[in-house]
Amino acid sequence: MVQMELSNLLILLFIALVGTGLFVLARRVQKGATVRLRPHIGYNALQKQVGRAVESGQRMHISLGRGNLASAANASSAAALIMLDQLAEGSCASSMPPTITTGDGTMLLAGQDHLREAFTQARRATEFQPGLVQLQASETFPIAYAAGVNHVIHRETPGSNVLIGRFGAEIALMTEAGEREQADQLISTDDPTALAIAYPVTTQLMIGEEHLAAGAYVQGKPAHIASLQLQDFLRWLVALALLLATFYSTITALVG
Amino acid sequence: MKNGLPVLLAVVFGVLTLVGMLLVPPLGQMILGWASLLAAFALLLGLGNLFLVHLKRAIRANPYSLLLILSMGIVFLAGTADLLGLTENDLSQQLFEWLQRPLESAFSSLLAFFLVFAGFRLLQRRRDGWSVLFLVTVIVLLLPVPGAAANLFTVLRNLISDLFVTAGLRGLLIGIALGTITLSLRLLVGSERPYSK
Repeated sequence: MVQMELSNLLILLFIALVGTGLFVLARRVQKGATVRLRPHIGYNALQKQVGRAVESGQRMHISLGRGNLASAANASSAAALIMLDQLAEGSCASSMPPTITTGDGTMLLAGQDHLREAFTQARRATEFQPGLVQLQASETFPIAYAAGVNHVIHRETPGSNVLIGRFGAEIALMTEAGEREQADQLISTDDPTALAIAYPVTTQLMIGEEHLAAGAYVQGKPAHIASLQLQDFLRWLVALALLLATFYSTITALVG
Repeated sequence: MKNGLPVLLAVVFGVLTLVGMLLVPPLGQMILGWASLLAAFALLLGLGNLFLVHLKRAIRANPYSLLLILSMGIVFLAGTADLLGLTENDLSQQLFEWLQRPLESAFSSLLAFFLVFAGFRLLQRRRDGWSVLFLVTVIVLLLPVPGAAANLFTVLRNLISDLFVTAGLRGLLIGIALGTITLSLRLLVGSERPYSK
């Protein structure tokens, strides 16, 4: 019944080691070890979005992408929900709730849950409407999703267009709609295609692992900070392994 | 207990899925099947949300919402007719091929124009070396060059694509993989709870 291959054993060992490292580093941070995060223009802008919406009197539009919480895009979508928390808490307290769109059913339910909680914390629970979070299309129809988001942007004329989560090339259509409405644009994603398109659109851009570091910048809990430290350490390990492998291959090729 | 139950379920099923995928494949596949079923139900709820939002707007005489409601009805009826064997050909598939696909293709064709506009705006917004490098790289990679310079551009194109683009992409993907590993670990131990507020 139990099949144990060497590769699976190595994976389990890796998970155990990384988990132990995460625990040790989180304890250090809990006990008061000082860790300073690199300032990031995107996360600084994220914190200012609510104020910008209140000053301009225009709502925020937030799109959570089309990543499914039950798929490989789980991590990207989870990071998007963390950022949604910060945006929703501030904007619901100021009676300017955001309009939220998504291209996936699981993100719709999670988004409604987070928004409802934000209204509850702002003591405005009765003002929550499920229609503030809208499914535009299934994740298998990216263009239809972009068309739906475009319609929302042109109808709502938001002051800010915040795109966080898993997108593809269809993000070009959404950012163009934001440009035409002269909305301030903030993009956070881990998809290389979407990043290439987002780069010329805005400087408020979270790239790849910066998107996945949302927890550390937004919530700042010990486990989040410890994760970033662990990532840095693992990155150096990977770089060292790549260099050693290249050196070994070169030597082997030269020696024959 | 109300707040603890989602976390407990997430941790238990997360660990069970991990154990299943590594040690007991049938267990892992069964749980993933349940997850797919839940995602399908979530999509069904999403369709209900879409219908209700647009129904309210259609009642207020919004033409686009009315069109969406009508389209949903027509496709639903077409699918039902196909299921009941009332149609000879696959009517819902034909609707998709003759309406949905051309519309999506037309919208997709706008991507190229929007990307060109974004390139122009990049120079207006950020006039620095990186912007120029970005645009020059895109031009070198995409534009066909006739004549004697074609060979040189092909070499340049291959160098940029095989060396710089591949290296950058791999670095980006390694970073994403490391971020995904740590975030997933936090989800497994219940430290990260995007599903529960």
